[in-house]
Amino acid sequence: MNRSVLKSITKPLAFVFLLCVAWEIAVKILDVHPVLLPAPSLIASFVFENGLTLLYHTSVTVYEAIIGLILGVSVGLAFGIIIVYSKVLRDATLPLLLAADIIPKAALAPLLLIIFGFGILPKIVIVILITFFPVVINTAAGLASIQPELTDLAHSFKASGWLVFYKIRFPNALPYVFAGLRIAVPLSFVGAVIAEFAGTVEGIGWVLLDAILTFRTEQTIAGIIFAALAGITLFSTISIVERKTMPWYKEDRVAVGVY
Amino acid sequence: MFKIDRIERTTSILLPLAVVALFFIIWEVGVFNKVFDIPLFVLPKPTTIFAYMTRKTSLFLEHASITFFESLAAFVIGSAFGMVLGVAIFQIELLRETIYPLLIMFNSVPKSAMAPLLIIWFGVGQIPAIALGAFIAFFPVLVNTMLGCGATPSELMDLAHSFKASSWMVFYKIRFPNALPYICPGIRIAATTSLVGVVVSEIVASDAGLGYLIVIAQSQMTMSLMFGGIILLLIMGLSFYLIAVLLGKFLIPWYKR
Repeated sequence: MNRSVLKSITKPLAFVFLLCVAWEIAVKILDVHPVLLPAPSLIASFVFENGLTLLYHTSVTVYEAIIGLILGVSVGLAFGIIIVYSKVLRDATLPLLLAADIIPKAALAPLLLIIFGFGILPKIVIVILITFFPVVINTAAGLASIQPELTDLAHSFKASGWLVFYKIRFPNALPYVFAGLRIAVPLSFVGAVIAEFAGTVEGIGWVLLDAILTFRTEQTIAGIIFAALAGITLFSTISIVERKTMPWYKEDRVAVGVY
Repeated sequence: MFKIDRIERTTSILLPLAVVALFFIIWEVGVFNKVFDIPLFVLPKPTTIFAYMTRKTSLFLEHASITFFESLAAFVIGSAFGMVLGVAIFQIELLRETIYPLLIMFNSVPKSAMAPLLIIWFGVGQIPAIALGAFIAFFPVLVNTMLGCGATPSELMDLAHSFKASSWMVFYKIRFPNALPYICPGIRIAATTSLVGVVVSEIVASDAGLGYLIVIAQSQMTMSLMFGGIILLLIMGLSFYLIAVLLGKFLIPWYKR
């Protein structure tokens, strides 16, 4: 297992290494100005000198993302369960939830900044808005996708409604719930970054904006690398949790829209 | 039976509309301002916003059309590149072993973080917005194209080989049509997320477009302008999605989800 993992990552890693070497040589030979494209060595030394600061700002954004994610996902799960059991509520809200999932929530960042100020609150609200909808929609779809034979069987054994939910409906919905989480988890970090773009004093969004104003492209790229690592870590975490929770489920890893 | 069906269908259309109407009425009456203690100049009434929008139609149309064409360009460029590269990576083994895992990993990376870098590279204007939107649209189409190309049923391939079909024929007649049910959801994602990329780039730095209007409104506290921009973006997001769905229906009419 470990050997095959190692084998599958050697080639991509070698490719990245070669790319960095080519990049370094190209920048040196063509004498590219560091504002336009800093050499990998310059970026590395920047990361080396400011590693702790970068880590601090990344952790601020991750914190905003995780608080918003916890709130958005729990409300989303609860609401998803409610609308499966209440037909009126489902009819009234499901089309709106589907529409709200599609619209660009990033446009709300400046508005939330005016209402909630420069602090952490507007970031958390954006993250909630971005993570809530995919979770509700997928939870509701998953709970509704139950095979009638299974519930019929449960009813013939006089299983209580709670038991049917706990033993049949919810496990059956898990693949859908995780499909929602695979969208929500990486987007939580993106949402926090976008909210920071609209106005902030700290976080990875600040690192990136500060770099434009001071013309330090190495800071921009270092910020992008830290954001990328945070995004990949969050996505891998949810993938691992998914695999541990439902080892029986072999999913088709279709792309999620991470903007 | 038929009558009940019809009643159900009308309620399923009317109920959400009623919810929206109720929301706007509550907003108009000023409940939000009271409950959340937000003054009227921060949260204006819907009628005020609407009156502002009708007064400034040409301004809104000008910036909306810029954002529209930016996201359209981003969507077309990004998904075209995604499809072509997806096929190329699938066909060439070296690429599949080296950059395929990297691209899969890249799909979960926050692409919006690239906005400041693209603005440094291309300057303030339309190009960084298109570039970010295209970059965002690129990944879901690419990943789904690669997955779709790999999902050809082996029976079909065996059949094609037993008829000595050329590799081009196999691709054109079997692999690609079979990949389309994967590519179309990718295109749907690309259509809505490319707009997000354009707006994010416009919010970071721009000189035109709806994102620019929203940022200007933020700095001037012209809230009707901001809400007008947001409403137009919401409409645009929904229409892009609907267009992508129709495109999918046109490309794979045989496919039922």
